[in-house]
Amino acid sequence: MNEATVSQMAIPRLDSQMLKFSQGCVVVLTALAFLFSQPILVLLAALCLTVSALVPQASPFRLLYQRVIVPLHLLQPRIVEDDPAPHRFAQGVGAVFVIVATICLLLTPAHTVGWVLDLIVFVLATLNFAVGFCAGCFVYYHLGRLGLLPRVRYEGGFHWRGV
Amino acid sequence: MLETGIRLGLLLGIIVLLWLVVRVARIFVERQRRAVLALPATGEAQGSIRILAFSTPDCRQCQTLQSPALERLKSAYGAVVNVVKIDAVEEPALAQQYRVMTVPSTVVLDTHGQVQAVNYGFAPTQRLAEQIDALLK
Repeated sequence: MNEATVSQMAIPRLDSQMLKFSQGCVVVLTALAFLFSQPILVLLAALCLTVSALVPQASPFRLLYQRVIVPLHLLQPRIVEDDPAPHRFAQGVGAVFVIVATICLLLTPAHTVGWVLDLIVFVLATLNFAVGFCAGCFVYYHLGRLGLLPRVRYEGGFHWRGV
Repeated sequence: MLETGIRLGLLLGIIVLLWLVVRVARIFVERQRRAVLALPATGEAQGSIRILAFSTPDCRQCQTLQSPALERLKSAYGAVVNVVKIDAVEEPALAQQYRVMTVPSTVVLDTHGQVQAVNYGFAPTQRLAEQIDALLK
């Protein structure tokens, strides 16, 4: 097969290892927060996920991965064909959950609700980390089907136009 | 201390439950895949390797990822590979025959019509290329 032909064509790509690393960080943060009853870790997860969803280039997970993990050869980038938009959306959904959890834990007496939300994020992040099932992406695709999200448009040679 | 123990137990319980769900789901998918791989060959000798690409008109991932991946594959392999696009809703019998559980799904058939690989969900160009290369050896 002519690999050059395949690789030269414009395709949306992402680093799956970086994605896994981000999911792993969320799993660890939400688990430790619940285990040691530390709402501050939920707040930290909320901040990291919010930045990741809004400004992916400034994501703390990405910076840690690119500046520490990869240079130390703890993980190697693995670029795969995938649409980054659903993953970003999923991070946004996760961010909303942990923001509400943080508010419940720090500003209201509804601690149980806060911990339940924290555990929901833990479960979904663990599923994504372990088997690659991204619940946020699932919701994203279904919202796209219903026309509730702007569609990604591709023209001619599959040029990425963004969402 | 007791509270931490309870929390640890709850966390471990959730992890075990997740593991069980994932395990059952994997066994189910693997059984479906094996059933498709065991299907008898269609018998029609084809000049090319066929990829049955199942999709639906409203499948976003089919349009944004799978279709372009198949186009790249066609450009790279030319006449060696024949991509047959199938609407899983329009062709329920075929979808059932190949146990399509999700779209996109791709089924790789050799030149004798024997199923050689089944991909549930998006199959990147590289994976499909490896499956084709294995048949070309």
